[in-house]
Amino acid sequence: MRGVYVSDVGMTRFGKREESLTKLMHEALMSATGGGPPEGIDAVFVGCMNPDEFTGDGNLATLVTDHLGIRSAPSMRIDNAPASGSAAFEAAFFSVASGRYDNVLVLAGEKMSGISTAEAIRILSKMIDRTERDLGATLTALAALVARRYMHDYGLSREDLALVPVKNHGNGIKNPFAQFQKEVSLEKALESRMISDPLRLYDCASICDGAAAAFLTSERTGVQVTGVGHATDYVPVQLRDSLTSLHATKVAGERAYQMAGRKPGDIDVTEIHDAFSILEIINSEDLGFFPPGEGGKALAEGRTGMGGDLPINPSGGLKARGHPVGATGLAQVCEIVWQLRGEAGERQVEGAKVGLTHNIGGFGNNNVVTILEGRA
Amino acid sequence: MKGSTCSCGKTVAVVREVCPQCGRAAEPVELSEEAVVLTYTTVHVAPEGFEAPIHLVLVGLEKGAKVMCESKVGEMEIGVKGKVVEEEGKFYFVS
Repeated sequence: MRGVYVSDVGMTRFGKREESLTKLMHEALMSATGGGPPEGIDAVFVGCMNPDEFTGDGNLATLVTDHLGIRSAPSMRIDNAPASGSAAFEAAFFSVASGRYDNVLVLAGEKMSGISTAEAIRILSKMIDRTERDLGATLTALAALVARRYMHDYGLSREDLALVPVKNHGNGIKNPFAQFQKEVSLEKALESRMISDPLRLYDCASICDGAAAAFLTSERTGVQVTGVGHATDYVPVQLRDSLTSLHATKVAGERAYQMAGRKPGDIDVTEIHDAFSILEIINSEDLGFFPPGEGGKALAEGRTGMGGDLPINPSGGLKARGHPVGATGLAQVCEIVWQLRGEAGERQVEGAKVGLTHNIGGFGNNNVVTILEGRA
Repeated sequence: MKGSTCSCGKTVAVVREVCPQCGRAAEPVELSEEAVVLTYTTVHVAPEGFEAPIHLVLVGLEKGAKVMCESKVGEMEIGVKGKVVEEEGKFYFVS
């Protein structure tokens, strides 16, 4: 396989947006090109979870090439639940690595606010196993079951769990693309509405709109994609061996580290999937940054904050940046590319050379890990 | 309780023709209804078609099998023992 590099990235601000999905993708594309027309694109990979139900439009891969003026280029849509953005990036990566294409465009997005919240939750809940769904389980309920067991096994306090949204909202203040750019106090997080005990509103990422874009090329640039790992696990939580660790993250992480020839200790900055607060802590352990049960302690000690030895989610993560499901994985890539180029402004992690993204599809059962490295 | 088991060692509390762990043909198995609480939650924001609060519990059965149930036990704690009963295709955890 030959080297694959990122040339340009861009994204829209996430949040409740009036524009259509294709307009949001155009805005992300223009953000990446600096306003210029898309030229010399050999293929387009579109990550989106469910445009048919969220927006009423199907055939998105072609709708995008039409609306964005990229006629003739082959275009395909990748649906990998909320890991659609990173899976589209993965497919694009291999298309360049294989030698088939030299320059490809990855677009990812979701438009979720055009329908009622209840309807959006109904659509999102389809990724849950039917027997669990038929009992009234929601994604938050599954995360709550995991959180309860984790807190029991490792003695994590409710206050320490709330440090995840507090940290990530603090980071989001400095991200102009984030949906939420204001501080959330520990008290506010702890007093927010109970959704599924012990998880409260501030433990959960939002339902919103947004898009991201990235160009991959065989020509050497300042950022190389060095590792991609992807793994699945059972859909029902009741089939899983562990309730405090995600098998798909562990295996995806091992695959990405092996491909990149890297180990957890080499990572300088990371964007990991905090759709629910407990997941950030569990992910930080499954990816090998901290031993099992110690992710919460590392957070409480500030090790994963902006001044720590491994800043997690400098963008604000899914919690503060917002979580338009299909867009998230590619927005994570955007953030890491900016970090590696030293272009992350006030949220810059000094001297970041190796970055990692981790994106979850389903409730922790179709996960993608990507490693990117700065090449001076 | 009806479940499935496989020579690879995986036992699940659902009837599956194919073992979810290794893809071989799974064998039907009868599992004891004795169960212990592994974790639980109360859903306060219910999905469409349901009314909050919903008391969900994930319990452990024999051979490492687990099953999600609606709880009919008042005081809930990890480690509490009880039984799984099936009513109209739905599993309940009772004391």
